[in-house]
Amino acid sequence: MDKVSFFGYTIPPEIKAMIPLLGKLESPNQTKEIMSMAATYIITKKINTNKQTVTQLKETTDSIQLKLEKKANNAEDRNQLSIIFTGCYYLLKLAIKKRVTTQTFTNDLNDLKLPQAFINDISALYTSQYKDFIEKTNNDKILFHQLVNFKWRVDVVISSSFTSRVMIPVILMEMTDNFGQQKTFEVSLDIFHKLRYNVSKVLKDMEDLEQIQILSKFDK
Amino acid sequence: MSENIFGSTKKFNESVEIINKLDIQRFGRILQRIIQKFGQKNERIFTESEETQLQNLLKITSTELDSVLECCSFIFEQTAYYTLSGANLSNQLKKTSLNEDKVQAFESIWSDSAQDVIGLLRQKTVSPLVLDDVAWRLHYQMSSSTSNKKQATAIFEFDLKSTSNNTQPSTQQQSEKLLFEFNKDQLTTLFHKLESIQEKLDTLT
Repeated sequence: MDKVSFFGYTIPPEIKAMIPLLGKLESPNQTKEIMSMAATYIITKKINTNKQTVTQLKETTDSIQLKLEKKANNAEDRNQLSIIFTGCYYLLKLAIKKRVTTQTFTNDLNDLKLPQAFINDISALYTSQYKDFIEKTNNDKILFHQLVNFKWRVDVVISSSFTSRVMIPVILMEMTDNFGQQKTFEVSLDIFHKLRYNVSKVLKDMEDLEQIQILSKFDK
Repeated sequence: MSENIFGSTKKFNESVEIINKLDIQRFGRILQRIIQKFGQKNERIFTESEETQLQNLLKITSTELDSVLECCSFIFEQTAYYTLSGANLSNQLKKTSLNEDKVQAFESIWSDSAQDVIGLLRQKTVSPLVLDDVAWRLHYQMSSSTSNKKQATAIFEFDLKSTSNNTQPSTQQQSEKLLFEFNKDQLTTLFHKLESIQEKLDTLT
């Protein structure tokens, strides 16, 4: 048996369902449009959603639905267009996840015996949008909150109600995460040194990790 | 400091009179305890049962004991505020009507623990949130639902201790945790910022 195609050993049902319908569609423009809608959907869809991206996704989904409905002349037609949309979405999604080259992408689609026009269109789309797809998937993963804004201030305490002469520096930090949560806190010298040491240690560990041969071999 | 930092209020003088009557050995031990609990505003110096015992031992009333404790704490507070040395404290106390042996007890205990106490007081802060601890975990992402990209990321946990609400330490041990995930670039950015803080600190010393 030769190599496995990028969508796995068995063709996913979503793609399978699309195959017989593709031949029936008269205008290639119509499929082309559906494809680009699927591409837009992939780029807009995000796991780590905040309010802004949720509304953005909703708008995109609504407009896709509207366009699909407009194109369709009757209920059966509408159903077919949805199936094609889902199929295109799955094809692109799997290809992006595996990061297949355009060559493999085209070859694997050829094996599916899809209409030539469809393959040309979707390959062109895949190539032209590849960069966007990759960038989007790199940024889109389940993440803990991220530090988006970090402000600091160094103070020297002169005196306090406890002692008249203090003269030690303290650091104020303000951290804001990507969900808008903001915290302001004081950091004593000892803890600051601990923080600085730990950050540099993790950075060094990360660099060491990149040197490990076996991990770089995984990344192909 | 020429003037008397302890003032000479009626209450202070009355308390000093009571102190003067106390047994010097027992008084030394009381001072020891006061200095141990010093700076912990919301903690009792003696528990209630200890206070009853002390009253019996020293043969004084509970109000008298209270004024003794308050007076000694006040002396230490003022001493700490002006950061007096043991000898200076003894000079100051000689201006009051405190007996010589009690003055010596104050001096020896203060000389022993001044450094610790003042160090502790200097660290005291009025900021509501203080960074208490840092913990982290480094990991290597092998695969995810959207991509097979491998990448090293680190999660940092910042433990923030709240100082504003320690009137009820047991009911509400207030601490907040801040979690951040960093990839290498983000962590490098943070590191550079910490470095510039360090540079500023270096110019101060």
